Amino acid sequence: MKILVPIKRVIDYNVVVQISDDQQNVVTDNVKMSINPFDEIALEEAIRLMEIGVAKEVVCVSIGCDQSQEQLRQALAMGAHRGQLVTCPDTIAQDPLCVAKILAHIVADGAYDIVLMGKQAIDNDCNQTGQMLAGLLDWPQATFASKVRTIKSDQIEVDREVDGGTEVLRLQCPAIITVDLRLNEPRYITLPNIMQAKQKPLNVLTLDALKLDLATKLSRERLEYPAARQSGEVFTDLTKFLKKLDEDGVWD
Amino acid sequence: MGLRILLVATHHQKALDDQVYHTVTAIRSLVDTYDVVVVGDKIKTVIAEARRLDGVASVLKVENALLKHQLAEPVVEVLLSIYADYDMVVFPSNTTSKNILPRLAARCDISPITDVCEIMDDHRFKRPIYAGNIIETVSTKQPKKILSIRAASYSKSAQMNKEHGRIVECACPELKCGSNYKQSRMNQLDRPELTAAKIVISGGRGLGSTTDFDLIYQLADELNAAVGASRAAVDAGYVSNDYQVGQTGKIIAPDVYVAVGISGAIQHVAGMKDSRVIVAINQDADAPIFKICDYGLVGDLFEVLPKLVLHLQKRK
Ligand SMILES: Cc1cc2nc3c(=O)[nH]c(=O)nc-3n(C[C@H](O)[C@H](O)[C@H](O)COP(=O)(O)OP(=O)(O)OC[C@H]3O[C@@H](n4cnc5c(N)ncnc54)[C@H](O)[C@@H]3O)c2cc1C
Ligand SMILES: Nc1ncnc2c1ncn2[C@@H]1O[C@H](COP(=O)(O)O)[C@@H](O)[C@H]1O
Repeated sequence: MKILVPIKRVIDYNVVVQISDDQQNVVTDNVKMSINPFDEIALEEAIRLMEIGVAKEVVCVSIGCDQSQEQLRQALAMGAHRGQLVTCPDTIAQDPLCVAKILAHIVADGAYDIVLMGKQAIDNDCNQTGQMLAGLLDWPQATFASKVRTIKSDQIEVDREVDGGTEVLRLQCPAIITVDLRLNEPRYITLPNIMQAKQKPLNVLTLDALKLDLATKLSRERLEYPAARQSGEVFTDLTKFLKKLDEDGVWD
Repeated sequence: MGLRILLVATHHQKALDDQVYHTVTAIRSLVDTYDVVVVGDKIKTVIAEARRLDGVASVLKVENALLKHQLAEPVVEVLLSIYADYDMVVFPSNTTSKNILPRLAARCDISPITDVCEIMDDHRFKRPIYAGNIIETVSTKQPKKILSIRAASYSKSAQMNKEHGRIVECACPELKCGSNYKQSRMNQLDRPELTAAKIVISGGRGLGSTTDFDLIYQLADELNAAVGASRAAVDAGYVSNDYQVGQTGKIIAPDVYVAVGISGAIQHVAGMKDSRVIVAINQDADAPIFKICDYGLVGDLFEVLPKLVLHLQKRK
């Protein structure tokens, strides 16, 4: 099996994100960037499928700025075989439909059996790209995976986290799987792995080279902070706390 | 002719999903009437319920055995055969629609706008990004739009007494499906549903074990409340994943949200900060949850919760 894992470079989940002065963007200067946490989980799963002999090759692809090479190097250090970066303007990298079209192009080129990807990018919180890619390729999809089992060489069973509980789907490959947080815990990268990863192939292409006709259909008018909550009263005395809640009719 | 809107009413076989009612409120900020489509198998009761939605004109009914579990592939084929008559296709935001909507959008070559928290007019919308820490205003010139509405941002619409919506039976296109439904393990709830409850009691890592999570249930039962949890509590196995509140779990806005043994990480806060009143119980006075709560108590939950339950029992 050959697996493609898209890797998005995002602001690290621990960073408190700030809006730029022109209200058009968020501040990224001197801000820690990371692999989108869900993509790390997707990659971990792909590597595990390799370790149990189900997958033969794991390729990572990122769509974004030149610095996304850092995240791809990290993905290679985790265990992916090779990386591919498609450089493009940020507006394209942040647009799920454009990204899905680029991914569809890469998939069509590479004879992949599975695309394993994050369910959502923690920057735009779209939760769209995987489903879009599945639509464009006309492949079956299983979103929000919390367990992945191989049934046959071309069949996969996935537990999906849905609102009321869990749903089990069996997919005929080629297929798209988007992963949820509970699927696995990604491994730590060791120093020898980082050294090794420097030797692995990382191919950089510009979007123009793909000759795709892409245009974003949404425009950002502005960014703003949500109305802040007033912080209330914090008690150390239980009796006073209970009294205040009763007085204010919180339970009624 | 005015704006033609189609509401895709997701459901769980017996009844409409609760978020549908919130979505109706959002739609009615733009139009007086709209159509609804219900897709599934043996959906008589759901159709009857959809006919009673406030402002509904026609209820498009598409029945087929392959549609039973509302899987993305067949549902998208159905929606492709009807969306062309509408200017706007609107979904409630939930796991069913998140699975379907983007696939439909890609097939229509439309960039959708999901998790809308405010409709400004027919082409400008607000949606939260970065776990709700930032609100983005997005505009689009696309002639057709596909949206999903965040239930926590709109109140629930009323249910009419009369089944006034006109049933339109739609032919089902030929369906194929590369994914096969095997089974579901749905959790039986003997408490109010998390996204619909007036009061929610959530427990975090501070509860320490599945057994001790019982303290949360006891408090919830006393208040007829729903139970929620932080990701850490889900990961530790105290409760199942559908209890999770947050950026990547459920987004809720109850009247009262009680966070017990939860630190208040931004990803958790993203799912509950629109609650009307937030109460927090935590032993660490510096826990970030205290910065956003209305009422906080610094204390050991194992001492506090039993006393709180007793206090509530005495009040009755
Ligand atoms: C991509 C991503 C998405 C995420 N999505 C979500 C999400 O949707 N929802 C979510 O909740 N999290 C999410 N998280 C995880 C989030 O970052 C936090 O790790 C998580 O919310 C912490 O849960 P917690 O507050 O229960 O645990 P902790 O942060 O460990 O806090 C436990 C708290 O309990 C208190 N405590 C301990 N013992 C007691 C006691 N005896 N009495 C009183 N208080 C006590 C402690 O003081 C502490 O404040 C996500 C993380 C990532 C990376
Ligand atoms: N610019 C990108 N480069 C690589 N992968 C991406 C990019 N944007 C989105 N993805 C993938 O699509 C998933 C869902 O993203 P989204 O639909 O934006 O929430 C992510 O977890 C990634 O796996």
